[in-house]
This record gives sequence, structure tokens and C-alpha cells, in this order.
Amino acid sequence: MDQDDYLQAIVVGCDFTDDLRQITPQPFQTKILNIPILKYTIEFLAFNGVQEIIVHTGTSSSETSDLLQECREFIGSKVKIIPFEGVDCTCTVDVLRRAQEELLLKKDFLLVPGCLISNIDIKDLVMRFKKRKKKDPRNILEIIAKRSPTTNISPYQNSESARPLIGVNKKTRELVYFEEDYLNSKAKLGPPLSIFKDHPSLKIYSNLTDVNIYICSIDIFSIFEIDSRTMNDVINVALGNAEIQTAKITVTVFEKGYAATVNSFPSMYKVSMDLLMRWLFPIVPEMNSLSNTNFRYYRSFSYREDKVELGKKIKIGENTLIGQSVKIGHNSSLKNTIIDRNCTIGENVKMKNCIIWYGVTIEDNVVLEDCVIGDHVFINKNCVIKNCVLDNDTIIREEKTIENYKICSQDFSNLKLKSTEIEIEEGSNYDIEDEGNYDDDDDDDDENENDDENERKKKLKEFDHKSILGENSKGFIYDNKGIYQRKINEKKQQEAKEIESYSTSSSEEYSDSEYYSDRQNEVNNSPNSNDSLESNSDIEKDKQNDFMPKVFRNFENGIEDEYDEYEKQIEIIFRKCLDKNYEIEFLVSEIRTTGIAYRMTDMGSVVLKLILKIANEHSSQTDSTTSNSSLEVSKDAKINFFKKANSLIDQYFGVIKEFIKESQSLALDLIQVIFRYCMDNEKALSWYVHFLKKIYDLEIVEEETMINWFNSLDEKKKNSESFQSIQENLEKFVTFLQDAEEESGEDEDEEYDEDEEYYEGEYDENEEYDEEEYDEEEEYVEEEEN
Amino acid sequence: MQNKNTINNIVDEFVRKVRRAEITDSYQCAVQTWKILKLIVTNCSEDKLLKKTEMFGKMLTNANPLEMSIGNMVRRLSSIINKELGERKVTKNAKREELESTKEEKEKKPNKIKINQAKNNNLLQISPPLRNLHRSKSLSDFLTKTTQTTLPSTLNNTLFSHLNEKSLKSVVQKQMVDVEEELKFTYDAISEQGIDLIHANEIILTFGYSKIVLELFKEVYKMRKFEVVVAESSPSYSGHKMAEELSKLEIPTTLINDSAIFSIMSKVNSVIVGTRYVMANGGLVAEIGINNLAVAAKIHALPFIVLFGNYQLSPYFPYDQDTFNIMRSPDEIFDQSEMKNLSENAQIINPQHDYVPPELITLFINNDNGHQPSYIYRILQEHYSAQDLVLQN
Repeated sequence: MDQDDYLQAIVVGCDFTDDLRQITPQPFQTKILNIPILKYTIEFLAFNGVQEIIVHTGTSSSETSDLLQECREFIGSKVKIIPFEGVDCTCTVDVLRRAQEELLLKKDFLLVPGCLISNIDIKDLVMRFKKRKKKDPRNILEIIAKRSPTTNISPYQNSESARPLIGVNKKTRELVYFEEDYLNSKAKLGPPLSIFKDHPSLKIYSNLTDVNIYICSIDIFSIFEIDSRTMNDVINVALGNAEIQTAKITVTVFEKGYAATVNSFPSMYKVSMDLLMRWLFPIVPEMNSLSNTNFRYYRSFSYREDKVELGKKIKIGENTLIGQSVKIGHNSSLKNTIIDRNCTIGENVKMKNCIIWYGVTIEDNVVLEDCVIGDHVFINKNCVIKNCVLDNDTIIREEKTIENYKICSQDFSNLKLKSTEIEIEEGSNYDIEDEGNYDDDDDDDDENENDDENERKKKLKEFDHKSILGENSKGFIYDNKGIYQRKINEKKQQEAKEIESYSTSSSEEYSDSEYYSDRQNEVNNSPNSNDSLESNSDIEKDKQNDFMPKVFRNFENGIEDEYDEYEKQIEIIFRKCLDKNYEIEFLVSEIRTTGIAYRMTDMGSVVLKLILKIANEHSSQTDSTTSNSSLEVSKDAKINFFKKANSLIDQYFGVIKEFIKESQSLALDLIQVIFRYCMDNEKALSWYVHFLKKIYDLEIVEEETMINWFNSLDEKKKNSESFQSIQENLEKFVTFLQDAEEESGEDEDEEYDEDEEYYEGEYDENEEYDEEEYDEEEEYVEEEEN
Repeated sequence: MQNKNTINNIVDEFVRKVRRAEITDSYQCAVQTWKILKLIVTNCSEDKLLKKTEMFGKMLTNANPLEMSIGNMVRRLSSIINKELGERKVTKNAKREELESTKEEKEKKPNKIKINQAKNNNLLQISPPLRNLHRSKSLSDFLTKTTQTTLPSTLNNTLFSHLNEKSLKSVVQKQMVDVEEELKFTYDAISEQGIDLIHANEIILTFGYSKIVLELFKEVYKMRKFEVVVAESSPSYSGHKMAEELSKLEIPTTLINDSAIFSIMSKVNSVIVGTRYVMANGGLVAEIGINNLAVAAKIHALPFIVLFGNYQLSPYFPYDQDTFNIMRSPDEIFDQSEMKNLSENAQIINPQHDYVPPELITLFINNDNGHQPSYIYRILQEHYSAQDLVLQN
């Protein structure tokens, strides 16, 4: 065999999302049309001439190895399948690194997720990539993107798959701009105008779906940064260093063909329907090419295997697939439904939009809508189940109406979640369901994933399993969201309304409904986002927005996913440094790379915010030892807080300064941060002016900026109670600043001295003031107790 | 052993290619299938010949039963072998009679057979009713059981392994070469007949791209002038390619869309099309849209002439549009970006084939001659033996 033709592929099996984990331990074992997804992926790779497939399994269970053996048998001897455990890998980049360490990767390779279903022909593309790479070794990555596929048909669908905004040089097909998931990110930046200037033949795509297929050169490891996690991170880093031109990324856009990833229950249903409608031709059920099946095609996308026993007057609607030895009783009807082998279905059963796995028993008069039902489930007669997921081996023995639940056969409130490991490692990237993340981010920052976990368990315990599922049933509620939780598509409102009626009925957990409606507006606001770049006025607006300090905008708009994530990243780095006393230079470079990865500029203010937060934690820790009352904030704590913050700022002001440089707009952000923080935090309030003073003393912020900011404060804010309490001091400080500004031209040393004096004076005064205030407050509390 | 492995691999690879729709051209399917069958025959021993071809034949056919040219070629081989065996039986019986009179002339082997056969004579007599029994039992068991009963392996092996061992294989191989030649010269044989179909200054309507039709036009145009109207054949739009090729040959060409077929029909003198398969009843399984054309030609009382190579002759009886159809991806006819405007309840159907009933067809032209649709069953009988008509189980 020609060495040049040798092509490897790595299948990243664990997709690091946990939606499907509830029903299968490995997402790629999820059955689509009764066949594990992995088979589709492997067929796709073999079709494209891959000779060696490395499958990242995450664990080494016997099920997985059985599946791999099955794959080996069906794919033939020409393609090697190599299992690769990579147990601790938590993200795509980790997997690649590990594979590289174990010398599994030899030359160019394809990188695909384990839940990919596609029939795109990329053979030519791979050849061209190799040729191009010979000419230009910097070309190390080719992204395969697809015109938005069918995944948006369903009325319940939101933009499930990320929609990136991509700028491509038309001539060289080189990637010049990349923004992942622009529809869902609140920071609507849009591409900087300069790229239009630099690349005269630029084409911007906004209607593409990232299908997560990459052709990588073995040199790709050179552009991995320490904190890169996903391929999107890698791409961002590569683009961030565009001046250095170490890496070149090309993009190919496919107009035709089918590609989709299955990572959630809605997408699982959607893809199944697409397959029944033959979007994956020539891989269609009646070809029986993937597994040992014997399907036949009947009119209107209905498929049946042999030995199916159908009762009288059965209505088999469109998009149905019935496996071998299925028995269906009289008068039943099914539509958009997939039934795996050996299921028994009673009389008068109505099934719509369901996926039913192996060996399920459904008794008479059951109504099923929008359900995924696992292996060997038993459903008693007269049950009505809508918008639910039933795990393998669940048994429902009573006549119940169950709506909007995910049900497990194990009790997760006592057991460790299957997904626990992944969730903790993965951080908050994916757990959209966790409302905690969308609370005001000032008070939830110290809540880590373990708490999330506990909270969820607590929530699970709250469910009344017995009354929902019946006394004799075997099953436990996992969550109360069902399959479809968010409905955005306005056009399909009519259909949506029907579902709305039962999704809102369980409204107690929709504390984040505001968030969703926010999101909804945003999605609806973006006009024609599919066909063209946003209209000019929109861009204008965005530009204006851009001049507002980022942090400020953050507060204005509520919460930004990306921003949160970015902050968390920095927090992790910062805390690490704090623990291990790293050099400041190291910290700076670490934070900077993260900043580049997220394309954020206001790293200084984030650091400051962090310092305040850490100081706050520190003081609360000491606080909790002395006083048990949580309502009261002791004076000790306040002083502790200030001391800690002060020392931290002293220690790390270099970092802040490094990021602020001379930019006064960024410095303004700093002031905003402090203001915001102090306004919301009682402990910090009284120290507000001191903080301002501090950053002024450290020559991070100029007088003028501060004065400008003070003057720009609006009345509303000024009238707030907390502001009143510091207004006096603040005004004093500002007058001092104004004086200082006038003087600064004359003599700087003098100013400094005066500064000192002022500082001390202020300090004392303030302390007294605080004592008074807190005495009062203590009294008040006592009174109430009495 | 190595041979066996390589053959397995070759078959496997071919099956994969067919399943992945990498080979869709029926001519290519036929040629490649024949190549593989030839390889199988040359690489297997005499006594396993029938068993092997049967086994691999099934594998090949099952790759995609709707790619009927594969099955047709397998049937062709099987009928060659069966005919040869049948002839041998007849000649052997004759020989046996001869032998009884002049025993010493022949070698020892036929003697043994004679004894064997004498022993198994009653078995032979039982076999025909047995066959019928199986046939009535299940249509799907047809081939396997019938071939086994008509030629019970134990019986046949003992029968023929001793008789001119090499000659059966070599005779089969020789006949296979004939078929290969026939395949190779399909286009020439058909285009030779074109001069009788097209008269000077006629306007001929054709549909989509067809290699056979193109070759025929090319051949005829050397001798007389005529015009061609090409229907574009959506959604494959292969008619565009056809028009391109024709214009390269400097044949006056008009490209129309499929919807214009009826309106242009009044100006046309005759319709000549290719097909994908010719069915046992004289109907066609052809590219989608051809039925419209055939109906339009019937209404205008124009000759509807179908060209086909013998490999396209399939021994199935179609009765509706669905049975031998392939539903292709909606991707080909529908832009995915419009998908969001489409309700979930809408279906997009993209059939690949059209069934044209025999009443609409005026004339068939194959490698040998012109035929009436009602005569197709005769050609079928010539090419395939009756027991092979149902191949897959």
C-alpha cells in the first residue's frame, strides 16, 4: 500500500455531553434505527477510505468491546479498528494528546465525534488536503462545515447544534474569522471591519452547521495550548496568533449530503426521522448494510422486518420502522415511531413520535407521545405517557398519566450519577439545565460543581416517585424536563402551544424562564440570520455596544454564557497560582492565553473582581468560626475582608496593570467592577472609597477617568440607599482628586504626601462610621429576635 | 487458500461499493460482476463449481437486489452451467446406451458412473416430484432447493467429477468469454441496427443520458442527417450531459425540460430511449419521468423505441411503481436551507425509477434484433434457465 494513501481516523467516543448518558453509558451505543451510532460513524469513515480507526471509548466495558467486535465484523478486514481507552480524557484535545503520547497517530488523520451520522464524500478533500500540505506545511487543519441541515424542522427545536459565524477567504479557502455559536452567545460582536479590508475576497457564512469533522495534520499538536479543550478553542488560538502565521486553517463547505451529530434526545429523534426519510441515502434501512437485518420498504417511509405480527385495523402512518418479531394488537395506530425487535404492543395503543427499544411490553389502551423508551420496559394498560424518557428496565405497573419526566430505573438521589465524573471535570460547559448558572453571577460564583450535584440530588429527593409512577412501579424520576424543554421557533407556535400546555404546568423549576425568553427574543431579533450576515443597522448597534465596557454590559444584559465560562477559567488559573505562589509573569501569560481564546479584553477587571471575591471568601471563612449568625456581618469580617483584599491587590496589582496598560477605557471597567461589587456586597461597601484610592495610588487609574466616571453616575444609582451611605466619602475623594489633578502638573511628590495624609484621615473616620452603623444594626437584629 | 481469500475480498469490496452506491451504472455493474464470476470460475475446482458460483452469486446479488444487472449476470452464468450439465446428462444417457453395446471402447470412468447411476436410478426418478414439492412449499427457497434437487450434490458430484473433469470447467469458461464479448460489443451491435430506425431529416426525442442511445445516434449520423430533442431528466439532469455530447458530434440538438415533453411531441417523429432494466412482461424499469414520455408518445401515436443490452433483461414481473423502485435522498431535489419553511408533516419523495407498462412500448432493440414487448419472455428463456428466476432467499 502506498504510504501516502494511509489514512487514520480518531473517533472521540465520549462526547462529553450527558443527556444521552441516562439511557446508555456510552453515547455511541445509542441506537438509531435499532443500530448503534458507532456503526454509522465507522461506515462513514470506511466509505471515505480510512484504513485505521481509533475509537476512544473512555472506559473498557465488555459492552463496548462487543460493539467494537461487531463493527470489525461488518466493516471487513480492510479497515482496522483500534480501541483506545483514554480513561481520564475530558475533552477532545485531551484525547488527541493522549493518543499522540501513545504514538497511535502516525500521519494525517480525520477527527470525528462518535455520534456522527453522515454520508458526505470527503475522499477528494482528503487528497487535496494532503497535496496542499506538501506545498504549505502550515496548513494543518481543514474544517468541514455544512449548510444548515434539516435539524431545524421540528417545532421544538432550538438551535441545538452550534451555528458558527465563519469568514473564509474565497480564493484560498482559508479561515480568517471564527466565532462559535454566534446565535446563542449574547456578545454579538460580529467580525471586525478590518478583516474585510485585509481580505478582499471574503465570504462570511452564518448558515453553516459545525459538523465536527476535521482533517488534521499530525503537526496540529504544535498549536495546542495548555488550556485548549475543544477544537473550537484550538481554532481560536490559531486565529488569535494570526500574525505569527504558524497555522493555516482551511474550510470546506458542503452544500449537499447529510451530516448530523446525535447528542441529545431531541436530536436523536430528529436524526432517526431524517434517516427514515432517506436523507442518508444510500444507507437506508432496506439496504440492510449495517447490521444483520431484513427490512423492507413500504409506502410513505414505512419499514418492516419479517415475522411482524399485526392485528386488525392497525394504522401504520408515515415514518415508521418495525423490527423483527414485533406483535401489535388490534386497532393500534403508530406514526413517526421506531420499534426495535421483540416488542409486544397491546390493543388500541396510540404511539406518536416515539422511539421504542428492544423487548418492550406495552399493554392495551396506552397512549405514548414524544417518548424514548429503553430496553425491556413494561408499561401497564391505560397509561398515558407524554414527553418522557424511560430508562432501560423501568416498570410501570399502575394506570398513570406521566408527563415531562426523565425516569431512571435506579435511584439517583442515593446513587452516584452515571455522569458525575464527567460533569465535575467538564465544568459548566454543557449543563444548561442547571439553573444555578443563570442566577445573578455575583453570588453564585463560589458554588462549584459538587454543590450542583448535591442540589440536583436534593431536587431528586423532592420528587414524589411513588405518587407519580405508582406504588409497585420500578423507576425513579431523574428530572422533570422530559425530552423537549425549550421551544423557540415562533412559526410553529400552534404545535408548540400544545406542548406548552404541559411544559408550563410543571413550572416550579422554570426559575430561568426569563433567561429563555431573553434568548428567544434574541434569536427572533436576528433577522434572516440564515441567509445573510446581519443587516447593517444591527452591526452598527453591535459596534456601539462594543464601546461599552464589557463587564458593564455583562450586568446590563443579564448573563453571558461565554463570559461566565471565561471568568471561571481565569478563576481556576488564579486560584492555582494563589495556592502555589507562581511567578506573576506566569500568571499573566496564562491569563492572556485564556483571554485570547475567548477574545476578551478586560482581563484586568476580571482579576480585580476575583481578588475581591477571594477576599470575601476569606473573610467569610474566618467569620463563620466566630459568629453563627449569617444575617449579621461582623465588624471583624469587614476588616478581615479589607485587609485580605488590600494585601491581594498589593500582591497582584502588577497583573492588573499588565492588562490595563495605558487604556483608560479598561480602567473605567475597573471602577465599574469595584462599584458594582461594593454596591452588592455589604462587607465591601464601606471600603469602596478605599479601593478607589488604592487603584489610584497604584497608578492604574488616572484622576480624570475617575472624575469623569463620578460625574457620569446617573441619578437612579445615586439615590440608592447603599450609595447614600458612601456618597459623602466619595464626594470627598472626588474633590481631592480634582485638587490632585490641578496640582499634578506642579509637584508630584507633594501630592503623594498629601495622599498619605488623606488616606489615614479617611481611614479613621470611616472606621468610626462603620462602628456606629454596625452597632445600630446589631441592635436592630436583637430587637427582632426578641 | 490464498486464492479463496482474495476472491472473498474482491467480492466483499464489490458488495460494499454497490451498497455505498459507488457503482450505479447498470452496464458497469454487469461488466464487473462478470469479471468477478470469471475469476471465481477459474479459481475453483471442478466439483465445487456449481456450489461456489451459487454461493458467491448469492452474495453478489444480495449486495443490492435492486441493482438487477448483477443478478442477471449471475443467472446467466448459472444457466450456462446448468445447460451444460443438462446437455451432458442427455449425451451421457445416449452414451450409456452406446456403451452398453460397445463397452470396451470407453475408459473405466464412465463405467463406474454407469454403475453409480444404475444404483441411484430410483433416486433420479424421485427427484422431479421432490422438486415440485419444494417449489410449492416456498417461492423463496426456490433456487437453493431446486438446484439441489435437480442436481443433488452427492449424485451430481459423483456423476460429473468422474466425467471429463476439465471439460466442464473449460466449456463454461469458453462460454463465459462469449458472454464477455457480447457485453463488450453491446453498443456496437445495437448501433448497427440504428439505420433502420431513423430516417433522414427526422426529429428524434430522447430522455436523459444513455450511452446506448448516444452511440446509436453517433453511428446513424454518419450516414444521414436528423435532429435530436433531449429532455433534461430531472432531478439527475443527465439530459444536460447528453445534449453536450450530442452537440460535440455536431448533431443538431435541442434541450427541453421534462414538462415540455408533451407540447413538443407533435413536432417529433419518433422516441428513442435507453432503459435501466427490461422486465419479464416487456415493461421497463427506467429513469424517473420516462412514463410521462411513453404516455405522451402513445397519445401522439409515435413509435416508442427502447434500446437495451441483454444484461438489462430481468426475469421479474413488475406490477406497480413501487416494487422495483429505489427511493433516493430528498437532498437531491430539495434545498436543505429551505427546510425550515417546511412543515414536519411534509414528505419529500425522490424515486429513482419509473415503471413503463408494456402497452406503451412499440419496439425493443437488443443485441440481436428488434422485438415486440410480447416477445421478451422468449429472449428471457433463451438467456436464463427457469430454475434461476428467483435468486435471492
